This record gives sequence, C-alpha cells and structure tokens, in this order.
Amino acid sequence: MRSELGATAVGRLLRSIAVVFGVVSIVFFMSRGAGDPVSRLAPIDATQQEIEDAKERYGLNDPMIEQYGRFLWDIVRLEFGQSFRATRPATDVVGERLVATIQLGAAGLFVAFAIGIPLGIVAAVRRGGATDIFSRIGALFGQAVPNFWLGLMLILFVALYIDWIPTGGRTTPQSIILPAITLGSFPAAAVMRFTRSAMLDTLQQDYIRTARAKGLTERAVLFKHALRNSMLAVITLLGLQVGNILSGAIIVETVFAWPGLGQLIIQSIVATDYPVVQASVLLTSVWIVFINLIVDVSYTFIDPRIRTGAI
Amino acid sequence: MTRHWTQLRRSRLSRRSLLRASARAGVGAAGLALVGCGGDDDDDQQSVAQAQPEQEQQQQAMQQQQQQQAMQEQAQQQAMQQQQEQQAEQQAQQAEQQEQAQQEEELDRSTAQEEAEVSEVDLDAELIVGYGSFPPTLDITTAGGGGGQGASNNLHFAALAAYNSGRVIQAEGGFGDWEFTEDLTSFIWRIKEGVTFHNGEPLNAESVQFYWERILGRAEYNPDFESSLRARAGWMGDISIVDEQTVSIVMDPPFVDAPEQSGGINFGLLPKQYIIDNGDDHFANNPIGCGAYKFMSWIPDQEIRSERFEDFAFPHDAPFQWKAGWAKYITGRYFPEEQARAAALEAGEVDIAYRISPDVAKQFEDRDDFKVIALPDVRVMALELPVNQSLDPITGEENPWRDVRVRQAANYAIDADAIIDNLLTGTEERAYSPFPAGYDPPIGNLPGQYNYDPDKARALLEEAGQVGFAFTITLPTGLWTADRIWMPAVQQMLNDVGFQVEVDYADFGNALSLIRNNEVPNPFVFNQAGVSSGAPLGPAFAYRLITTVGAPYSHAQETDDFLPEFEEFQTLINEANTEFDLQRANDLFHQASVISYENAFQVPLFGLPHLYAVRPEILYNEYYDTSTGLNAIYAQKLKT
Repeated sequence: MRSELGATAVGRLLRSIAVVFGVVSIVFFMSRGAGDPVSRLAPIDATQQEIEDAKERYGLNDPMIEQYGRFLWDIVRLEFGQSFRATRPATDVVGERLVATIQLGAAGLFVAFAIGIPLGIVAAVRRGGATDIFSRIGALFGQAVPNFWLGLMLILFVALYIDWIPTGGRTTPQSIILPAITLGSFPAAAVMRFTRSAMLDTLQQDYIRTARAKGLTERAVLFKHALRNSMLAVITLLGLQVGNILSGAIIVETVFAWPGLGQLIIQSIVATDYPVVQASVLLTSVWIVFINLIVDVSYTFIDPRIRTGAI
Repeated sequence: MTRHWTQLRRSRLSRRSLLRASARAGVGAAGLALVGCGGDDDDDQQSVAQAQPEQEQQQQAMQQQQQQQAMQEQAQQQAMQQQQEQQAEQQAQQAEQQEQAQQEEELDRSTAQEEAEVSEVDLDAELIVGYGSFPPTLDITTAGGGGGQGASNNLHFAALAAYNSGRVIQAEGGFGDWEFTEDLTSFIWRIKEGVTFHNGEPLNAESVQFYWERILGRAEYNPDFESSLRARAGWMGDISIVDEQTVSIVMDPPFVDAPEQSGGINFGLLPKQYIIDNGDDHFANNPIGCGAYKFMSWIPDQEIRSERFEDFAFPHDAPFQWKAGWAKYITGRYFPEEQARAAALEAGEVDIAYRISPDVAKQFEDRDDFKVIALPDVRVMALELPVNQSLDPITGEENPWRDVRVRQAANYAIDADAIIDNLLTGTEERAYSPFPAGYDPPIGNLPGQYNYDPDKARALLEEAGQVGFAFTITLPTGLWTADRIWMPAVQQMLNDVGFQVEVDYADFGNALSLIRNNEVPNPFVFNQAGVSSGAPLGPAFAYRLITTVGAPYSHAQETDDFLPEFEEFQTLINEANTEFDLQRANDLFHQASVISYENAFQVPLFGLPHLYAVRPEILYNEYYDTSTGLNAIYAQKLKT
C-alpha cells in the first residue's frame, strides 16, 4: 500500500512540474510581447543608441529562443536577474513582499472559512428556512460583486465611520480587517455553498439515519458524523481557493495599498519589469500547484477509496 | 460616524441647491396662498345664491359681475404669479451662476494663496501626503529612483543650480555658481562653501566630480553602476577639480545647455564617502542628500518618513527655489487607488491627496472642510502631425498632411475651450504652441490664431479636396489626466468638420516605445515642453524631444522629404541649439515656433493642471509660475 501511495505522489508531482513549466513558459512569451521595458524606463531624452546599449546589456536583443533558454537555466538556478525598476535582484524584491501577501491570504482564507462553514451548516440543517434563503442570497452577492468595488465600498462606508480602521496601508494590526473581508468574500460564498451541498448530501446517508436511530444527540450527529464526512469537498475547495485568493490579492492589494506580491505584480507588469513578473508568477504558480498537490495527496489519507481506486 | 454623515449632508445640500429650493418654495407658497384666497371667495358666492332665491336675478347679475371681477383678479394674480415665478427662476439662475463663478474663483484662488506668517505655521507639525506612486528605489540617479520626485527626491536632494520663478536657470545664487570659459571648451561650477550633506559630509568639488563620474561609470568604487542619467552626460569630457570648491567639465562638443544638464533640478547631489563606504544598495535604501529634509525611514510601497534638515543651506525666504521646509516631519504614504487616496484624506489619515483626477477633485470643490489646489503644468498636450512624409503610409497615396489647409482645418476644428470648460476643470490653459500660454512673446497673440471655427475648418478641408480624410490618432494612455475623457471630444470635433478619425488608445509604455522607434506613422498625442514665461533655452529641451528632426517623439527623420517651411523651422532650431547668447537663442526659438504655428505642424490643445485636495489648515504656495507638481517643502500646516 505504501508503494501505491508513493506512485500516486510521484505521478502528481510530475504533473505539477509540467504545469509549472507551462505557466512560466507562457509568462515568458507573453511578457516579451507586452512591450519594450528599456524605452519605458529610459529618460525621456535618451538617444536611440543609449536605448540600444541598454537592451544589449539586458540581453533583450538576443534571439527569443536564446533568451528563453537562458531564462529556463536561470529558473533552475533560481536566478531571475536584476529588476529593471528597482535595480536589485528580482528574487529579493519578490521575497520582501511575500510575507505581506501570505498574511493577507491567510486572513482572507480565515474569513472565507469562518463565515462559509458555519453558514453552510446552518443553511443545510435549516434547509428552506430564512437562514438558508438569506445565506444563499448572501452567497450570490459574494460571488457576483467584484472585489475592487466591494473594497471601495468598505473604504467609503466602513473605514470612514470607524476611526480605528484605516482606509489602507499596512501600518497597524487593524489594517488587515477590510482587505481580508474583501478578499475573503468571494471564497466565503463558495465555501458556504460547498458546505451546504455536501452537508445536505451527507445528511441523507443511511449512516446518519443509523446514528439518529442509535439515539445520538443531534449535535453529535451533525458534528461527529455529518460534518466530518462533508469536509472532503471543503478540503478540495481549499486548494482551489488558494489560487483565487492569490489572484484576488492583485486587485485587493492595489485598492487597499497593501504592499504585497499582488501589488508588485501590477507595478511590474505596467513597467514591463520582466524579471520581477517572471519571479512572481513562478512563485505563485509553484505555490498553487504545491497546495493542490498537498490536497491531492491528503485525499489518499482521508479517504482510502481514492488510494485504492475504488472511486 | 456622526462626522461622516454631517459631511455627506453638507456636501449634498450645497448652497446652490438650497438657493434653488428656497426660491421655488417661496414661489410655491405665494401661489398656494393666492389659490386658497380665490377658493374661499367662490364658496361664499355659492352660499349666498342658495339662501336668497327672490333676489336671484339681481344677485346673479351681481355674482356674474363679481365672478368677472374675480376672474380678472385671478388672471392678474396668475400673471403676477407667473411673473414672480419667472423672477424667482431668474434669481435662482443668477444665484446659481454667481455661485458657479464663486466656486471657480475659489478654485483659482486656491492656487495662489497668501503665505502665512511664520507665527501662524505649526513648525512642529507632521505633514502627511497620500501619493499615487512611489519609487522602487530611493537612489535619484537610477531609472526607478528618478520617478520618486514628490515622495523622496524633492525632499532629500538638492541640485547645484538656482532657478527663478519662471524656471530660468540663474548663474548665481544656488548651491553652485556657473560660467562658461571664454573659449567655450569648458564649463565651470563653483560650489557654495559651508554646505553639508545630512550626514555631515561637506559638499565640495570632490562630491560634484564623484557625482558625474559615478553616473558615467567612471567611479573606481563601482564602474558597473548603471545610471539612467548617463544619457544626459554624453557631452561631458574630463571632469577635473580646480580647487576645493571648483569643478571644470570639458564640453565635447561645446554645449549650450550645460548648466541645466549638469546642475538642473534632476541632478540631486550625493555624498561621495557615504556611498563608497556603504555601497550603492545601501544608499538606494538609505539616501543621504543635502535637501531640505533628511531621510528617516522607508517601507517600500507603504511609507517614506523624512525630517526637516535644520542645517539646510537656505532659509524659508530664500530668493530662489531652494527654501527651508516648514513642517517638522513629512510622511509620504502610498495609495495607488485614487478613490482610496481621497478616502484617506476624508478620514483624516492624510493632509494632502496628491494628484487627483478632475472627477475626484469635484467631490471636494463644494466642501468647506477641504480645498482643491490646481497647479498649471509646464507641459502642453499637442497632436503631432506627420508633415514630412511624401506618401501617406497607410494608403500609399499623397500625404494629405502636407497640405497646410488640412493641418489648419484640424486646428480650427477643435474647441479646446469647450473641452476645458465642460469636460475638464476649467483651470486648464488653451495652448497655441507646445509651450504654456505664458511663454514670452506669447504665440497666442499672433494674428490669425486658430480659434474654434468649424465652418472655416470645413471650408479649408473642402478647398483641399480632403473631406472624408481618414486617419488614426495614437493616444498614449495611463499617465495624462482624464485622457479618456477629452480624447473622444477631440475625435468627435474632427469628425464633425469632415475628417474620419479613429483613436488608438495605446498603453503608455508601449506607445512611447513605438513612437521612439518611428513605428507610429499617424498623428499621435504628446506632451512635453518644460518652459515657462520668458524662459530662455526652455524650448531647447522641448524641441530636443518633439517635432524636430531626429527627436525621439517626432515624425521627422533625416530621410524625409521636408516641406520648405519645415526646413526653415529646422534651420532656426539648429542655430538656436548652438547659440550661447541666451537672448539670441530665445529669439531664434521664437521665430521657429512662429513658423511652426503658422504652418500648423502641430495641433496644440491645452496644458493640463495637476489637482490636489488638501485639508483646510494646509496652505500651499507654489514657487514656480508653472510647476511640475506639488512640492511638500513649500506646504505650510497652520496651527489649529
């Protein structure tokens, strides 16, 4: 059984490497098509010769395939070159932003699960009731409202009312409240819907009826039997939501002036700062793939039927 | 919470709406009173008729008479009521117009406020400014650091030259005095004595020599240092120390603009020993200059804190742009999203919301608790026309832009004043050249200027046989204020007179790159000047960038088929660029600008102002006649 588990993990790992390779290759070619960074960063009165010299220094005049080969070799060595804007190693620039994004992402996920799971449970248990209807309407809004708009509304209608919540920045511990709510709103809706539907499904199973027939309390039936068995779907969602959280952070960090990776990616794309864009995208894609890999492998521990191929 | 609703209510119930409402309420009340009186009369007449049937005929006659009188009175009253309504409406309109004029006046006034007495200024205050962009590095000589003008460079660094309020570089009075040698082979800087950097290192000839050697990649400590300013130093030969406070720069070839290009505002001085001892990376994170504020701390893309440099070389009332700072501390905070920046101002988190759009500025215009500051920019939006290509690169046929009537038609077609008044803030200035309106002598005063005249535009286009001439305008977007608001109006106005215009809204960086590489054969919008009223040599900078042959943002290339008028223009520019007599150079630039204007090589539009919303206790006095942005050093925070 251990060898089966190992083979599954290795298979998933190889697939993950292929995904990362695909992502970084696409980013490489797309960023090259986005414009010329030297013209953008050169002083407005730089001569054409000076611009050509700078391109030569950065290797931008080399054939594309040569640049691509060099790029892949650099990735292997975790070398992304100097940031055009910051004139420092791109890995340093990206590394400085990582903590802020992890902090915000974790807070966003916390909001999503702290709101989504209880609401999903209550909605399933009281199916068709007022809580269920309101939760589903809330989920509809959560998934329909764009986070840049929600962020601005929270700034205008919450931060301006409550003095101790700042409108933006990462200056005080309270600074994280509004961006985390904004970031967590979309996944909270998804978590709520997943939890509700998984719970409804589980509550109709024979073993739940058996548990009730045994005279267990409703609390024990719900939390010991139904919820635990419903969590597989929610764990699947966790992997997906890490990606959503990171992509949502790009907008949320800009709206709330949160100095994280998302904001850096926007700035670097605008400035066509290839090394930073590439380093950031590689990092985020590896992170998403890694989380999904962990989720995949964790299934095999949680549900033996997956390991044995029974389902 | 209470504060927000008070502000919200105050902003909604503006004086204008109150006046209008009160005028209408007054008329309504008067009308109701009149109708009510008439109704009472009618009821009385009916009751009398029912009670006394014998006197019916007489009474009927009387009643008819009374009714006629009542109707006449009612008609008179209605007429009076209508008259009163009209008067009230007129009064409301007048009040509205007065208020609008007053608001515009207030907006204008806010750009030129009285400077407060020193005793009124809170010299221990912290001034917090919300910026929309932050530099990725604080080394002013790098590409990224050069963009940190407002949040870092203006505060921490100072350059050698002094400027008067018209942005004219002065030979004496700054951190250095300059002169050309008689044979025009070298250029001398004499550095002011007794000046120190923030770390106590003296500013001397060594500092200035090191500054340029570092930029040129000749400094021994790190010859690989990459500076974006190297492009500006192509004219520099050997840089030698004459004595402790004097530096000589060999000009290769002689360069008229040497003072500006070696000691101008972009070249902030740096301490030699500090950089050698600590390295470039450390300096980029912990900058030291000799500016009015010393660096305290920096959290990238979040906050830059600075403290007033008490040993700054000049006082508050220095005659040139170098002036001591007012606030004890200046904190720059980064809010990339404009509405969030405005909300931070509203919440009291910042004192100044830096560079906001006209739409956001309007949110603050009617408020008593905020002010809007509009600063005219030195740069002017203009449409660059491809006049020197014999064939239209799109159709392969004869280039319609070679016909002066087509170019003039484009100039007559655009109602820049209407765009300024209706779509922008009303504080923008109509332009008649690539320079601001104040450029002396004013080209806008020439006879036959291109004011809006669509009939004339149509007639010229018909005369040229070019009705329906289709072309695309490339607009680099994302940097210039309200670009997606005014450009559709320009497009529509051109179409209205018979052109068929498409607009290519291109990403700013990409558009810049394409224009520089001569890959934009169609008209494009550009914005560059850097000259103010009476500034000799100002046009030198502008014409190095636009319109002229080989300039990076020009259609004109050496291989083009030049129009005779354009050749005349270019000859004058070439002469001006090598003329060391400033007055003569200025005259040549002016003659060239007149030729450019008369032959409509461009379509000048307007100068866009920079807008800022500030708290009421902030007083701002811009030193320059036309600015490149709000300089927090000059901002005074009053005692409250």
